[in-house]
Parts: sequence; structure tokens; C-alpha cells
Amino acid sequence: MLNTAEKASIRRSWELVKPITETVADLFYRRLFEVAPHYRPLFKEDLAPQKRKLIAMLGFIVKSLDWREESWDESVSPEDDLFLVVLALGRRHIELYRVPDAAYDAVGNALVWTFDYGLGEAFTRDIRDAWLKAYSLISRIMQMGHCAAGEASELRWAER
Amino acid sequence: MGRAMMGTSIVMKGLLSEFNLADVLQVVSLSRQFTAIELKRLDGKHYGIIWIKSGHVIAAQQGSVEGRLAFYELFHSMADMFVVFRLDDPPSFSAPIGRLPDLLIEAVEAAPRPEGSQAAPRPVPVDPPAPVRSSRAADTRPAPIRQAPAGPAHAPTRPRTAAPHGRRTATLSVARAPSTGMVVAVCSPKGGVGKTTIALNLAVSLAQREVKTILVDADINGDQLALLDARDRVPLGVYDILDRPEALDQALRATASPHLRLLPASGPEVSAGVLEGREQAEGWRKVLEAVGARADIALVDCPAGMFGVTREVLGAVSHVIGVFQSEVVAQRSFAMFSRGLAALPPGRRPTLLGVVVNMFQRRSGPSVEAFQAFCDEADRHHLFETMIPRSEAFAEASLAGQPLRFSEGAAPSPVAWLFDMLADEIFTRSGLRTAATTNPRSFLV
Repeated sequence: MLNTAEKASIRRSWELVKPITETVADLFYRRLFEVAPHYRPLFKEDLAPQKRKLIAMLGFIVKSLDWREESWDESVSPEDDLFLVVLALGRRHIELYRVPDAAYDAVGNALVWTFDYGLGEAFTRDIRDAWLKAYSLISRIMQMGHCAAGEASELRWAER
Repeated sequence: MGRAMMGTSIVMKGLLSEFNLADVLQVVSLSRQFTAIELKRLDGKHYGIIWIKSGHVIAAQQGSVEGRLAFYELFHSMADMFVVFRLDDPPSFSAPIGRLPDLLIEAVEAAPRPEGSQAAPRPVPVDPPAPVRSSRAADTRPAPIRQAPAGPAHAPTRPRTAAPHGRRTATLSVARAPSTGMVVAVCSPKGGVGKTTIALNLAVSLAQREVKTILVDADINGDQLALLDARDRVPLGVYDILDRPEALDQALRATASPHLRLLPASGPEVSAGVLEGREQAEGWRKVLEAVGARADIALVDCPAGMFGVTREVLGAVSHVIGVFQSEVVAQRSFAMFSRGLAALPPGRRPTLLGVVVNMFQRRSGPSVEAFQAFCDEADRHHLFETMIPRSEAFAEASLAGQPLRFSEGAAPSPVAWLFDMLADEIFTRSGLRTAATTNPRSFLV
């Protein structure tokens, strides 16, 4: 679970990413296929839709993490719940796309490299640690995707 | 607080042998729904339940125990399965019992005492780092860990201290009198970090020093046999003899290395104990004690994770080696290594021999950064000096179904020699002495 300072680090850094999302998406996939070219066949030839999904999902994660500690007892709908949405996403990655567990390390490394390259000195140690922690949790949920049941296995996530 | 499970829908369910409870709790805590995590035995029998919402533990119940104590009990339980529910109609409650991160730390520190003890023995802290003695930079240099003195009567009275970043470092104690050979668990909180490869090649190097060595495969998936391309060639394995340790000699297999024997995971059929998910801590204790009596050193290749079977093995061995994969995500998850050790009852906690860094890539920024981040934490003085790089040689050796030293005949990969250096470090740290190490043969005769 992320603490208040880590959530703030992620939110602040995302504000810096927003104006350069296209560049960030380009950098991310270029880096991913550079260090792990064997994952390229998992994606369609045209990466543009995939890039939009990546940015939308990152935006959704940042938004979902952005709530105040005092409001912990407020609820959100299942369609807006980070855990349920990512669990369903993980299930599809396992069952439809056959994404191996090892891919999560490569994606995490590529993501951190991208932010580091894209944000330069603004990507401080604290921000990097916060993103790593968030990614570690997100990837763990996705790896649990095959355990998803009921509505969590059916939940669709639409770009928003 | 109402305990009825009305208006619920199952979100996910799985086995705790696959995902440990701490992981399940942490990912579920990201949900802003009212959720309940029910823990069960393999036969479906209810064991306990924890209610969580938005990172807060609302309530916990195990039998007649409720609240924090129930949470601690459940955290250390040997339940087999978890089922996560979403509650449409939130239960009424007065106030949460705490934030999950705080309760997890408390639960680790509230590890159950060994049966029959009147008071928890004072833990024996890790020896402080020794002075720098060679070329590695001072801040990354490991210090040898001496054998901790046996028994609480000799224990220093320093209090346990928390590591930086709120992480807890396991305090270490001797698990058992060194009347038999060392039995060393090789484990890691994360899968795919190279435990099997490290255990196999280290065992070969130990045996090369004319040390009676036994390699025990505690991974029911039989990775050692897969690595050696010998899955179909063994009739009996350690899982088959957990309830009849007298059959150990039948199960031990000779290898091409005269001083190395292998105890495979299982024969062609998976044993009933595994299929039924029986708790087998006592079986592991008896078998590994018998293994220790037949060897100078035994290495136990554990399954991924620090709980489940690994916890049972850790409670039965004298020493432990951690394997750390030098990449960022593994670095973030390695805190569970210390937590897993700390969760063991003090009387059953093995002595940490050290942590070996695997798959290190000196030309990869993320790999170096992960290593540096690991060194920045309190565990750095446990690191072995010898680091194992990522190398194609491992894949080629696996293809040949051989350990590195055997895979290329008279000219094995230079990486094979690193395992000799690692073996030497283990001799130094453990105090294990052999004819080969105490009376080195002169090179010029």
C-alpha cells in the first residue's frame, strides 16, 4: 500500500508526463522491444492503439491512487476500482494474450527507464521509488489474474 | 459487528502455496470496496476471515478470537486457500482495527513462540559488519557472519532495531546444535531468480572440495530434475518419504560427482501428502535431520516464496542462503525475505549465511541500480562477495542437462569457477573445515 507521500510523488510526476504522453509511449515501447525483442510478437503491428491504452491505463492508475487517507471509507463503483479493474486486466493478459510472468519485470524496467529518460532530473529517487512500489503492486495483481472469479473476471475496462 | 456474509460476490480465490497471504492482503488493500478474505483448509473447512477496505483492516476473526489477535493468528496460520469477497452491503463496525502496513509489521513481530516455551527467548542479533578487507567499495562490502552462540543464555541484550525505510531485518539464531552436518535452505521470496541454478552449481563446487554434499530438491515441480533432464529417472523423492524418513537411503541418488548425492523432489507419482495439502513440518524436520547426519553440508532448494513449504523447510534447517536477482522488481520484493525469516518462531529460525546476488548485469543501468538500492538497505552486510552474472552458459548447461562444470567437459564456463569462490565463502562464514580447505595441496610439487 502506498503512503501519502508516495501518492503525492506519483501525482506530481504524472503532471510532468501529461504534456509528453506521446513521447513517453514511444520511448516505452522502443525501450521494451530493445531489451526484450521477443515480446514484440505479443503486440499488433500497429502500436498506436496500444500506446493510447498504456497512457490511459497509467492515467487511470494515478487517478485511482489519488484519494485522501481520511476518506478511506468512501466507496467507488467496481468499474472505477483499481484492484478489480487491474485484476480483470491481468486475467485477460494471462488467458487471452498468454503474457508470461517474466514479462512484468521487463515492462517495469522499461517503464522506469522511460520516466527516467523523459523526466530527467525531475525523476527523483523518491518518485522512482514510489512508481516502483506502485508497479510492484499492480504487476502482482495482474499475476493473480488467473485467480479472478465472478464479476472481477468479467469486468471490462474502457479507455477513459 | 455483523459477521453475516450477505450480499457478497467472489472476486478471486487461490492457493496460499502460490501467493503468500501478505501479498494477497496488500493487493486487496488497494481496493476501495468492502472486501473479506476468507482463509480455508484444502478440504474447504473455514479457518478465519479478515475484512479490509482501502488499506484499512476493518475486522478479523479466527474461531472465537477477534480483532488484532485474530489478525496475527491468521497471518501465521497454515491455511491453504484464500477466497476474496466483495461485500455489497458493508457490515457495521465501530472503527477499523488498524492500517494494513502497521498490522503486517506487528504480525511479523508477534511470531508465535515455540511449543512449550514459557517466555519468548531473546533473539540473537546479527553480528555487526566487519571492517573492509578487500577491494570492493566500503558501502557494498559484506561482512562475514559468525556462527551465533547457541541458546538464549549467551545472547547479547541489544534490542532489535528496525531497518531503514520501515523494513524489518530478521534477527537470527541457531536452530539446532551443530552435531550433524549443516543443512542450508536456498530460498527467495520471488520465483525465477535462479535458486535452482545456484543450488545445483554451488552443490557441485562444494562436492569438488571433497565435502560430503547432498542436494535436496524441495520444489515439488522438480526443477532440479528438469534442469538435469532426469525427471523420468527417479523412483522416489523427498516428498514420498516425509512420513517415512527411514526410506531416505533408498531415495538418495548418486551423481557423476563422487561427493555429491541428490535427493529429488518426488518419484513419478505425486505423493498423497502433497495432493491433500497436508502440513508436513514434522516430516521435513525428521528427513532433513537424517540428511544432515549423512552429509557435511546439505543444500535444500526451496520453492518460490517464504511461506508454505518454504516455511516448513526453514523451520527444519540450520542455515539459510537468500538469492537476490539484481533487477528492480525483485529488489522491491526482497523485503519479504527478512519478513519470512522473522515470522519463524525464534527457536526454529535458521542462521543466515548470506545473500547471493544473481543475474547481475554490470552494463545494465536498472540491474546496477537494483543492486545499489539493495546495498542501501540494512541487508547489505549479508551479501556474499561473489556475484553471479547473467550468462548464456546457464541456458547452454540446462540444454545439456548438466551443471555448468560438467556441461563443457574439460573447459567449463568461467562462471563455474565463481561457484567455487562462493563455496569458499560459505566455508569461511560457517566455520566448516575440510581436508581440502585446511590442508591445501601445494601447487608446485
